[in-house]
Amino acid sequence: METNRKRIRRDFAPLNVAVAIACDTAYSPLMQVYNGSDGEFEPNRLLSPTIIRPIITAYAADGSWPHPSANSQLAEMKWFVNGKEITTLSSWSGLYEIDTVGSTRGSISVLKNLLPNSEVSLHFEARLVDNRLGVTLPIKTDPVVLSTVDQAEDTYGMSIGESRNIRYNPLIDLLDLHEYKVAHGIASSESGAYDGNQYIRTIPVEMYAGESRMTSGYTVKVYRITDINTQVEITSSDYEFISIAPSQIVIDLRLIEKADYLIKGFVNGKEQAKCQFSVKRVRPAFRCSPTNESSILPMQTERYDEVLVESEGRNIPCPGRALKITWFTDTATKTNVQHNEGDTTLFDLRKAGVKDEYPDDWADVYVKATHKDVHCIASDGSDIYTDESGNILIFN
Amino acid sequence: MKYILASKDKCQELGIKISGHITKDSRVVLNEKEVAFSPVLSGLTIEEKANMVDGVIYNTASELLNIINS
Repeated sequence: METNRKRIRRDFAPLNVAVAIACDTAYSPLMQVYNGSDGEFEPNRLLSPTIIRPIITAYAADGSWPHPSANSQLAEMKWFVNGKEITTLSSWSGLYEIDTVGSTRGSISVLKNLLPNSEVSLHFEARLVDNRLGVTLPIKTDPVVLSTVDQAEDTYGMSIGESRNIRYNPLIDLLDLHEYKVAHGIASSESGAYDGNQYIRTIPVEMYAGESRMTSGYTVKVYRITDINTQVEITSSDYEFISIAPSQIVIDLRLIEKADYLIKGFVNGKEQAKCQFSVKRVRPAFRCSPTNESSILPMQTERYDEVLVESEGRNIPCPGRALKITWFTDTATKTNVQHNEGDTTLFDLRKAGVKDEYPDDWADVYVKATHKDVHCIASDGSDIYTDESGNILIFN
Repeated sequence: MKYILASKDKCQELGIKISGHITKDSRVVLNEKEVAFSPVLSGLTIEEKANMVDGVIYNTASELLNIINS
């Protein structure tokens, strides 16, 4: 007689998915210039297409998802122009191509020149196929704005010397790492590393009158875009802005989760030009593992361990700066025993439940880790706390 | 803006990525900005840099579009 059948499956961890979007063509950026004097677009996208790439990364905690870059697993890919699917718009017919191959699958090549002084919003939607679990996950990027500026001689323009989509990854911030080391007595030098990913970000601002760069005679103000119709001017109590000057704006990326800003240029008090940029804190996938592989000695009462964190192919020093890492142990007598938080641990073996005989003289040591939230200003609700030099204290 | 109709082979030899660019037979279209700022093209002028990829320079888009579309 055959028994009742019971189907068993492999058990996989669900995917953590991160979605970003970027312009891959610095030589053909999102903003085009129309030169009215000769009727030319610069660049002309029919000759230099603008390529916009959705960046999809996925991670499974059990390591069962082989490659973080997941563009190749996209299905049902659709691009939208001002919220309408691009395939339904006759004005875009033949003026775009969508890449279907490999790590750039989903990228769109835009061959359309927009009318002067116009802009459109593009975003991408798809489904990510997870064959391990037999499911598909929805993917939707933030929008990017394609625009064309009319560069007539009597018009003003503004540009910034930074990406209009600033992304901050605290795990690889060498300046933050250096300051952490100095604060903990691990390093002594006061100068940090400015490698382009540091939290202090200087955004050069250039204002043009026609084709001439202005060196004076204008002011700038920065606004936070709170919704499509509302802009709130940045003031001295918006601590993420370190300084705002006509030639440059300096921001502290540690204090920003996700925000859109608008820089406006004023000549004789009248708004003449503007430029938008956005900031987003990224949280890439990472793996943690305890590093102490030595056995427990007979008379040992305490155990030290240190976590190794790897993200995007590199080891992350002092990961507790950006990750909340909590240590746990399981033993034969106690499970899920929580110890301290941090890069290292030193715990009492007895309290953890380790005993002296073979069946119960062991411990499984592990960590649970998550990305920390964005930094906050230290305040009691009315007063802002500072150090002895007047520097505002922040924490996360 | 100027455009350069360059040799695909020369670009690939020098490590200039040509995927995503408009091509015509064995030639590829580069724009003035990417030639001027390319770290692999030496020379002081756009003409000298274009020469390294057997490039022909067109002063306007419309000139080159006529050739690409022919």
